[in-house]
Amino acid sequence: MKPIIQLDIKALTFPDEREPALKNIKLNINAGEFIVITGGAASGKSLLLHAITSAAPKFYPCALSGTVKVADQDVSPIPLCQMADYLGYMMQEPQNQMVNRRVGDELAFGVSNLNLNQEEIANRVNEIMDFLGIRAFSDRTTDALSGGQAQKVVLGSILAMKTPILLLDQPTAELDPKTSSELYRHLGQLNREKKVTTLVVMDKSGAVLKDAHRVLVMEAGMVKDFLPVAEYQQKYGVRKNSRQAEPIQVDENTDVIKLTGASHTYKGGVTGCQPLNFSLKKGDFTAVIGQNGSGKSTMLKLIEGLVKPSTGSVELFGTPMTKKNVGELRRQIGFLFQNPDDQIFCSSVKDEISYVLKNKNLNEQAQEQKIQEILALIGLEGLEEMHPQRLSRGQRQLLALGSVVINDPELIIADEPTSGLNASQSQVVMEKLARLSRQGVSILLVTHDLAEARDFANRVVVMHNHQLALEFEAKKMDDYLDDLVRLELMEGGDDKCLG
Amino acid sequence: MFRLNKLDPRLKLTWCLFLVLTALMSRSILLNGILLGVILISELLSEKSLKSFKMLSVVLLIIGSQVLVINLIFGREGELLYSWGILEIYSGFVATAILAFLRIGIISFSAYQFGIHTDPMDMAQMLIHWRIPYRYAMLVPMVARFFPVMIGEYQSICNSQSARGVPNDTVGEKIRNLPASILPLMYRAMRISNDAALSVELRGYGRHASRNFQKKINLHPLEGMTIVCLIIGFGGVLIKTIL
Amino acid sequence: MQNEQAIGKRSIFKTDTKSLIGAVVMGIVFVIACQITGQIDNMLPWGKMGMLLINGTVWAFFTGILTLLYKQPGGLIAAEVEALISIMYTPLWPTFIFANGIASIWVSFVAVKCDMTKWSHHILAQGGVCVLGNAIVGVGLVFILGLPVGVAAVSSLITIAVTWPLATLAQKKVYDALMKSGMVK
Repeated sequence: MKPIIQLDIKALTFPDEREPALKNIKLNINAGEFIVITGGAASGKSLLLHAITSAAPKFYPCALSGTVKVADQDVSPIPLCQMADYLGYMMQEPQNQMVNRRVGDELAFGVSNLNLNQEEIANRVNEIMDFLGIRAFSDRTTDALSGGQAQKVVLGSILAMKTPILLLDQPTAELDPKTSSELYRHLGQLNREKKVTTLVVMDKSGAVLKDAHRVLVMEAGMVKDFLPVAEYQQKYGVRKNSRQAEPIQVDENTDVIKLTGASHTYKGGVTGCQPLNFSLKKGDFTAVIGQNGSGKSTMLKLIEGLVKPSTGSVELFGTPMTKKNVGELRRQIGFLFQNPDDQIFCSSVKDEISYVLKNKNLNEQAQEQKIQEILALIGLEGLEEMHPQRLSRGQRQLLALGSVVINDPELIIADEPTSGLNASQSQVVMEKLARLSRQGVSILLVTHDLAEARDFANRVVVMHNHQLALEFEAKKMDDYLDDLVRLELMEGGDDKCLG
Repeated sequence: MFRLNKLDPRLKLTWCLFLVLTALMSRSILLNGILLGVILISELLSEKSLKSFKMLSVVLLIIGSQVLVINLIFGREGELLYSWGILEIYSGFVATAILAFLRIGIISFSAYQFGIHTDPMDMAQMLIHWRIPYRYAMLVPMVARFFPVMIGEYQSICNSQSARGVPNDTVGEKIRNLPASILPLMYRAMRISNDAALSVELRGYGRHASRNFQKKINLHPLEGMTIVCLIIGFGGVLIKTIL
Repeated sequence: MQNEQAIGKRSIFKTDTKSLIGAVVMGIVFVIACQITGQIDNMLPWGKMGMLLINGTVWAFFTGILTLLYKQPGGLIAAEVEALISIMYTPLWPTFIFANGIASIWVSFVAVKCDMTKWSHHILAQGGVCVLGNAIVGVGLVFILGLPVGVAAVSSLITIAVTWPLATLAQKKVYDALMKSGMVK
C-alpha cells in the first residue's frame, strides 16, 4: 500500500529546552489506515500530530531537523492554512475550536474558507449533518451544545472539507462512555467506507482500539512500538481490574453529607435534579457516575452551596447548610475541579499551594514544613518556583489537589478530576486520592470513568434522568453491567467492558 | 412584515450613525425626543415588545439619575433658584438633565438595536464589502461566539474560587481577590484562543484571499435610497446646527 | 527572561491568526474585567458620584497589557472589542472607541522605543494611556452626559492621579508574570 504520511524526524526541540521533545522517528502510514497513538505523559503523542500538521514549528516555534511528508509533499514550505487541503485536525476541547455562534455557520466554516460556491457549501453541510445525525440542532447556538454534540459539530466542520487524512487528539477525553462509543463508531465507518486515513491519540478508555489497524506506542519522544492491534493487546494487555487492595474504613454512624429530598430547578423551569436522598458516611469513598446532563453537577452544586435546594435540605458534618454558615462549612471541605485552571492563579507552585495558609496562624517554619510535605505527596518537589502554567495538565491537577489537601480537609469533593488526562496521569491523581482515603478523609468522586469508580471507590451511586437510579458496592460493579447498559452508561453487546 | 433583522446591515449602521451623530449635534429636546420615540416604535413594530431594552433601561436610569444629581449640584445655567451655603441650584439643570437623558437614551438604544438585530456574519460581510480582508472581518462573528463562552468560563472560575473558600462578600474582599478571578480567566483566554487559532488555520482560514458565505447580504434599491435620505437628513441637521 | 522580553520589542506589528484571535478573546476578558470593577466602584462612595477609579485602573491596565502582548493590530482589536461591547452598559461608548484606540497606539509607540524591562517604561506607557484616555472620556462626560466642564475636568484629573500609579504597578507585575508563565512567547 502507498504511504500517505512519511515521517523522518531526527529531532524536534523547543527553545530553552536541551532535550528534543521528539527524536529518531522514522515511520510510514499507509493510505486508509486507522492508527491509534498511545504512550505515557509527555511521551510526544500530541506533538507527533503537530509535526504532521506542521503546526510544530509553524504555530509552536521549535527547531525541527528531518522531513515530514504528507501525500508525497514536504510540509515545511506549505503554509499552515494550506494544510487544510490534506488533513483535518481535531483537539480535545470542542468548545475551544468552534468560532461561530450558530451550528450551521460552524459546519460551513471550513468549506467556506475553501471558497467553494454556495450550492456546494450547502450540499456538503447537509451531507455531513445527515451522516453525524446532527440536523436536529443545526439552528442552535454553539454555546448551548453538550460536550458530545459540540464534538460532533467540530468533527462535522472538518469532515465537510473532505480531507484524505484525519488527525484527532484525545477527542473523547471529556465525554461519557456512551457518547465516546458513538463518536468512534462514526470514525470507524468513515475509515471503512471512505478510506479516510485516521490517526487518533488514545485517551484512557481505549474504546478506539475496536476500529484501529495498528497502534503506535510512544515513549520519551520516540517510537517504542508500532504494532497491529492484536499484537499490541497481547503485549501491553487491556486495562485490568486494578482495584485497591486495602479496605476503606467507614464510620457508618456519622454522616458527612446528607441530602434529604434535596432538589433544584434552574431559572426557566429547567430541572437540575429531582429530590435526592443521599448520604456519605465518614471515611467513605463514594463515586457518582452518570451520563452528561444526568444531574451530577447540580447535585455537587447543592452540596457545595452554590445553588439553593428548591425542596428538601442539605446537611454537612451534621449541620444544616444555611447562607450564613456555608462559608464556615466549606472550610472543612477540599474541592477538586474538572479544570484545574479554574482555580490556579498564583505565579509559582509554592504560592499556589500555600495560598490558603495565609489566613492561618502558622509560623514560617511550620508553613514551610507543610508545603514540603504536600509537594512530596503530589510529586512536585523541586518545582516550587515554577509558574503553574508551565506544568502539564496532569501536573496542574496535582497542584490543585495539593492546594486542597494542605488545608487538612475532612472531606474532598472531586468533580471529574481526571477528565482530559491520559491514563498514566489519571492513575497518579486517583492514587493520591486513594491514599488520602486510607488516611481517613471522606471522598465524593464524580466521574465518567467506570473502571476508575470500580478500582478506587468503596461505593458507587448512579444518576440517571436527574435522580439517583442505582447504588452498589464498587467491587461488585461487574455484576451490574446490564444495569449500566440500561442506564445508558455503556453500550450493550457481547463485548461490553469497563474500558 | 417589518423585521429589523431582515434589513441590510449597511442600512442599519447608517441609521444608527444618523441617530448617534444627530443626538450629539442637536440641542433640541423635541428632536431628540422624536428620535428616541422612533427607536422605540421601530423596536415595537419589529419585535412586538421592548423586552430586549429592559436591562439597558435600568442601567440608563441609574446613569441618568446620577447626571441629574450632578447637574442639580454643579449646574450653573439659568437663574439662581436656591442658595444654602456653598450649595446653589440654578434653573437650567432640568433642561440640561433632560437633554442629557434623551441623548444617552438615543446613543445607547440605537447602537444596542443595531447590535442585537444584526447577524455577526452579516457584519463580517459588510466589512468585506468595504475591502477589509476577511481574516479581520471574520473576527466579528468570533466576538459573538466567544462572549458567552468567556462569561461561562468566568462563572465557573467564580464558583471554583467560592467553593474553595476565597472570601468575596465585602467590597474590600472583592478588590483584594480580583486577581483570583481575573488571572485564571486570562490564562484560560490564552489557551482557548491558541486552540481556536490552530483549529481555524487548519480549516483553511487565510487559505484564499476571499471566502464564500452560506447566506449573502444584498442591498435592496429601496434600502440604498433610504441610506441616501438619511445622509441628506443628517446634512440638514448639521447645517441647521452650524447656522 | 531578558531574552523573552527582548523578542517582544522588535516590531510593532503581529498579524498572525494566533494574535488576532487572542486579541478578540482577551478583548472579551477586558470587557468582563471592566464590568466587575464597574460594579465594585458603584458600591463605593466615589462610584456613586460617577468616578470609576478601580474600573479606570483596570481599563488602563488592560489597554496597556494587551497591546504589549498582541502588538498591532491586536492591541487595537482588543481595545475596540471592549469599546463596542460597552454599548451594552454605558452611553459613553463613542468616546471609548477613540480613547481605547489612541491609548493602544500610544503603548505601541512606547514599546517600540523601550524594551519594557524597566519600571520607567511602564510608567511612561501608562502615563499616556491614563492622560489621553481620561481626557477623551472627559470630553464625553461633557458632550454626552451633559456634565459641567469643571466637574468633568476634576473627575478626569482625579481619575488620572489614582489610575496611573495603580495601573503601572499592575501592568509591570502581570507582564512579568505572563513572561514567566511562558504562555506569551
